[in-house]
Amino acid sequence: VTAHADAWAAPVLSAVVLVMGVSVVGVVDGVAGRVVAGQGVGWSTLAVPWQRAALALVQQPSTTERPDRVMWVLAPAAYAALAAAGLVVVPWSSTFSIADVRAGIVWWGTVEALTVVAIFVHGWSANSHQPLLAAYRFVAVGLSYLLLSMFVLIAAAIPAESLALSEIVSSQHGLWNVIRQPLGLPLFLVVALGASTWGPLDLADGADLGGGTVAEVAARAQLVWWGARAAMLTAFAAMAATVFLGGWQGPLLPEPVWVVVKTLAVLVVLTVSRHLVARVRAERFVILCWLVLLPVAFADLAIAGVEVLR
Amino acid sequence: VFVARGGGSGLLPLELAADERISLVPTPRHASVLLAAGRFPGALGAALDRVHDQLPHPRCTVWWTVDDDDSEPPAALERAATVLGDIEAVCATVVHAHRARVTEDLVGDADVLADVPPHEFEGRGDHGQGGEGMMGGVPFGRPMAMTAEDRDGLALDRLDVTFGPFLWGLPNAVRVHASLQGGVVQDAQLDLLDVGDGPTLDRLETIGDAAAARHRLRWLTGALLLGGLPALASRAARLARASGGSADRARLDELVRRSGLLAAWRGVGTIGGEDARMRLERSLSDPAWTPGPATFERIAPALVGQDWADALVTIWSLDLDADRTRSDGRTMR
Repeated sequence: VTAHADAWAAPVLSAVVLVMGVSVVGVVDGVAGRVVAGQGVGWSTLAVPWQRAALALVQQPSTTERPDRVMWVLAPAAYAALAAAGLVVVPWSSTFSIADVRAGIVWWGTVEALTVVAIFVHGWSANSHQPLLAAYRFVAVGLSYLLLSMFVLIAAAIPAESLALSEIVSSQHGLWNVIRQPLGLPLFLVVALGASTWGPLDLADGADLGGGTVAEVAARAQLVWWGARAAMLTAFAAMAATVFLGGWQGPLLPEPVWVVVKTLAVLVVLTVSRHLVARVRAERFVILCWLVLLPVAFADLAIAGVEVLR
Repeated sequence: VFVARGGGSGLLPLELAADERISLVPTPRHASVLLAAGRFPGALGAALDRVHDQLPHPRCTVWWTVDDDDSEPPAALERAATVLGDIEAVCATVVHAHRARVTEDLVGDADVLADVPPHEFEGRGDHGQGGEGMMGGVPFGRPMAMTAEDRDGLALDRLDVTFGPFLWGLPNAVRVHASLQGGVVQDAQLDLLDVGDGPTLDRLETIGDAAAARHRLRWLTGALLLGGLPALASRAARLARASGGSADRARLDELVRRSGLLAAWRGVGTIGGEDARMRLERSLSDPAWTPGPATFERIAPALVGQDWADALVTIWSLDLDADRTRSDGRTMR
């Protein structure tokens, strides 16, 4: 990577990409929901997410008795900012990424870890029982799945012999990591669903706790939180495309188009999972993580190491 | 729409999930319309008033009742749009009320309660909240967490929480008082609020296998909402409403089986040798199956030691109903 956005342009660029990603999530979620429900899909289906958003904008903000107001506002902002911070290190072509971070994969790992803080604070600051319980439940699960990410990302960095994402993409020339390290992408998608608290891993905002961390949140704040989750999903999709699907590499089309196509493909899979897979039980998922997925992630790392030595 | 199910409502309101114009939400904060279904006497009405004031402005209320219900409505329903009749009429009223009051006029129902704490501040103890140090006590009548004795070698905080009566997954008019440690139920008591006397919303339905099958699909709708599958819940509700063909039913069963909900419910809520998974499995394989009457004395002990989400699945899987319970002459306590 030789070119980067100017300091002023970096936030604008990442915001534009994330807003587009959030729009895609909204539309795909609406269409997939209608298809799974067995209802017809028409042009009006595309308008539903925007109508919902418009309603949220005119609604009255909610409050509770003595919430931690500063944290309640900062948590969604921090969560969205983390999605943007993660996105800036994604290389969009062999010569351009939004920000110049040599150890991009380490930066991304930091972003992932901090999502747990943002989600917990969001539940905690409402000063209400159900959001608080959801926040604690999320932290218990978050600690379990984040370790998976560490192993699969290091495994992807080994053949590149670099922590820079552009080097990791270059190392996939001719053979993408999704083939070379087949265990990596599925595990990374588990982390994506967990950190975006989405679909089967929607343990922070589940209906079984009246909406979880978002149970007391109405109007604009609810819209912002939902948008931040969709933005996080987008950032994860872009990172999955970079680390496992060969990033900008591909025939005929210009390099950035390949990144967009691969990101969209992952984003659709992640979004649609919400309508087809039931929410996991927190306790059983924690056990699954420590006893099965973590050893699998370690195997992924070991295979990557042996591959390099061979 | 946030649905509050009162006396005589049964599971009928879950059929709202079938309407593509309507989205059911698990908290009043996300709703623009409060749909109150059935009777709300006494404490149930007081709970409804509190829920009413939690909907963000602009909001409106729809009361689904029957014409010969002469019970006194709570304050939240005094200016509500009243609808009698079947689910189609209810959906039309909800959509009309939302369009007219919420999106066109932007004028909503006023609060019915004063914005004050529900209890006096009980000021005593080190920091005036009535506990020890910075923990415990019941300031404003709301219990705070307090360190409890060891569990698994950890002295965890113990938090007393009351869930219901309108939480998703709970039967109508049921409250659960639970003591939780790290989300795990240590002690639970089920409390059935008075639902009064009167006709039920589904009284015009014929009885028999077809009605039993509809009830099962409504129950399945609730189970799918609880399991985080709103689109499949909508599909189940549509089948309940339209009594769709067997091909549609087979497709629903297939999607539910593939969703992993059966696996998620395995080992949850075992009462009498039967767990929530088996109840769900039988509901899928036999459309007219009805769970045997649950002995309510055994429910509360069965919740102890479970994660709260699992406790809720346990309660929903037993398919309890406030009206039926009363006529059976049993209490849930």
